[in-house]
Amino acid sequence: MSLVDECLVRYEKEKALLKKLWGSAHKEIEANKKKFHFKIINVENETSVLKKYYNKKNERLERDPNASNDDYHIAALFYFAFTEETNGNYAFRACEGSNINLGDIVEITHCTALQSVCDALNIVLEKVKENKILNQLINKIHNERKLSIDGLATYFKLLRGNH
Amino acid sequence: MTPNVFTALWKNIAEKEIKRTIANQHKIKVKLRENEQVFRANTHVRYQSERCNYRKTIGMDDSDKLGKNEVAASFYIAFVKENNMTCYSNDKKIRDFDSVILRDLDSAINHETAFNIARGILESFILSGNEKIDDGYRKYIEKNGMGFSKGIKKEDVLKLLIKAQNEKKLSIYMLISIFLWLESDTRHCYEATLRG
Repeated sequence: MSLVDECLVRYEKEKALLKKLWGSAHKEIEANKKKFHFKIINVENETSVLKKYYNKKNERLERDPNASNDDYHIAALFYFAFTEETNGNYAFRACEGSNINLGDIVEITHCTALQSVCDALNIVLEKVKENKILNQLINKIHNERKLSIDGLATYFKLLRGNH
Repeated sequence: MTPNVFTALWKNIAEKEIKRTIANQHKIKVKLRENEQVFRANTHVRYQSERCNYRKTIGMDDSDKLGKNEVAASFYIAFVKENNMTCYSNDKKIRDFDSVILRDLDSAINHETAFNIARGILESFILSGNEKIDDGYRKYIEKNGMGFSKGIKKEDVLKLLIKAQNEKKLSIYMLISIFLWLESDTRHCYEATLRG
């Protein structure tokens, strides 16, 4: 296989994984809306998430042309793109008059992203473990801002290996 | 190398390889950033500059000619320096979002083409140069071309060269070593066929 074909295969693989990630996210978005009795609506759609994903990926590769781009890194970039706050908005927004606060919205957003990654990478999590992981992720990414793309990718790799 | 010799080399080896690369792409299209004549002239200027720098750094006399590996290496560097072959796509998603895949493909296409041309230059030196080679080896190269021995993939070598270029560490010495290695591997493969 030529190097060009290799590049194209890598690209097709990435596209397929992103499709899987978004497919799962979309399913979760709809499930969450039902779960919260339609008191939340989704702000992000496939195009906006993919745009953020590619911006992040391009920025990262500008900084480091040799940065890894395996399935775990693709999933980590997707996670960051999905959970990123844009102008005070997250992937979801509470409908007017609902009692759902910003903390809940952040948690629902991370929960959706984590579930999408787990589905796409075939990671099976027990509920208790999932809650613990979610808290860690939210704290590290949202509150402490300490988790990098490489860090998150390693975390997914460990999760997949451990289950 | 005079412009005439360079033009002949370009016409006989590079032009065919470039056309083959452009014709081969289906999902992603390839074009030249400059028209072919300008690209050829600029590659010649870059080749001369590489050649001069190399001669200076190793203290070569002006009357001494470069060896075939040195010519191929200088050509390779001159060819990939500006990534003149570039990919484009009609797919809106690739065009709008994913500039990285196009950049990766640009590097892959330029390096792969440069390698094939440089290898063609080496083969032409071997087949029509002054070197004494046995008839069997000549026929072997005519039929099979030059190649690495089993277990070494050209693509892996190219990936390392692309990484070196990304880190601004691609050097003529690195390429000369690779072409020496390619030559020696080809000879080993030929001898292996003789042994059966």
